[in-house]
Amino acid sequence: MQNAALEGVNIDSHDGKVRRCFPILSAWIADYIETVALRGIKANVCPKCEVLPGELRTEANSHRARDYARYEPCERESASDDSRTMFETLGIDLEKNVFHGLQRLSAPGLHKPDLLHTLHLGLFRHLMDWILGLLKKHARLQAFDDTWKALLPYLGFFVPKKAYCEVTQWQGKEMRNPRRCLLGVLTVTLRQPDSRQVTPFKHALDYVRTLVNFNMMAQYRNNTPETIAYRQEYINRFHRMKDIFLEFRVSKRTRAKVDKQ
Amino acid sequence: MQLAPSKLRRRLEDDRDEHNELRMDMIHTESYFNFVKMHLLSHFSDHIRQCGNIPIYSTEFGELAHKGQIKDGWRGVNNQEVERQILHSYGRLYAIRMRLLHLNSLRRRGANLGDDILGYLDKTPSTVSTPAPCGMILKCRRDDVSDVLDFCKVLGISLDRIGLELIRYSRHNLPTERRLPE
Repeated sequence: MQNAALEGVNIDSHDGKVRRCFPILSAWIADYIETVALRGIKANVCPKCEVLPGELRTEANSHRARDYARYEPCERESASDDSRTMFETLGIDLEKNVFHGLQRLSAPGLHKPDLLHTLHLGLFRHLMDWILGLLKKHARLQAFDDTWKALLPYLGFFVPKKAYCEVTQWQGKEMRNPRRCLLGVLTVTLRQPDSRQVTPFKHALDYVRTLVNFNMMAQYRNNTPETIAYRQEYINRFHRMKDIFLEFRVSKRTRAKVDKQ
Repeated sequence: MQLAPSKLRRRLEDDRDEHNELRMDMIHTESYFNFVKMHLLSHFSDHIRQCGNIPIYSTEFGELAHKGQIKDGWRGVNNQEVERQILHSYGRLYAIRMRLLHLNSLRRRGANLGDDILGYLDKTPSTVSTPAPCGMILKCRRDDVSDVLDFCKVLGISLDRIGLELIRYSRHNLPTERRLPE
């Protein structure tokens, strides 16, 4: 790899000619856990920029891109306190990652957004969990399942055979399906709220709409400044409104602590 | 101290409300949205400006390659130096398809191609939309097949043909007592 990038190799081109190519590594498509291992960073740390571990939830997007070369001179054993605290705050585990020493490499650029794990199986799954929490709290779970199962077939849309809770494992392809109908189903489920439910239901619907819109827009194969602006707006709203689901994002530890009380 | 039942009930309810409020407070302060997926979204826009649309970078293709590249590739090799063979055959298949596409587009533009190439292009079906072979279609369960009519549509075979084949099959392969009359 190193030699190929510096001196070039002859590669057969599809038009029948042989060309001198200088291959460089420009992308490494991996899910988050694999990225963490490759990069020698800690879990729950952004591989692209130096966002502090406590600020992942904020919408701020002005952090400096990670400069992996900067970490390399800091040897772990002989590390001064300064560099050790830097490692600690920036979430670095290894000072030299797998890509150390490769030529013409943009290290932060290697990480590519991963729709499957970040959105389809990631946030969307979380969202479904939160929604179920909300429905359970307001005793609408049965209505949700009934609506879910009553969906009619439509072009390019597979009718779900089971209620949402009955499916134990979701594939990316299957997860794309509920995404299309979720908003409608939820609107039907949350109809006729009583006086205390009006606001939370409205907010929840708004929130779901934002994420679904964002999700759909992320799929666009062509993008204009306009669509990017839309997406940014969705993400800002998404962050602004997330608190409606906060009470359903309870970790096991918190749950245990609350129960003990 | 003895309390009247109504008073007692009210006090119990007060207690419970207070307790619930306490619980909610705790849940609100202890829970957080501080996980990395929330943050990764914010890089999407920049990435589009730099490198184009997102779906082409999804890991979905990699996960699918488990089947298309590795499993199907595995069936074609002879257990010697398996990794190398799989990689080679996959790369070769794609190189051939790319070359065919390229030649086709050259031909459409009226480039001067040799007779043998033209003859070959005529013989090979279009590479753009290669229909999957019937066996492949049937290997996995499909949602949209509920009766024979759908089945015909999926396979692209006429209903008459399927009917004839079914009759032929039942005449030859079923046990004697269930066989159709000749």
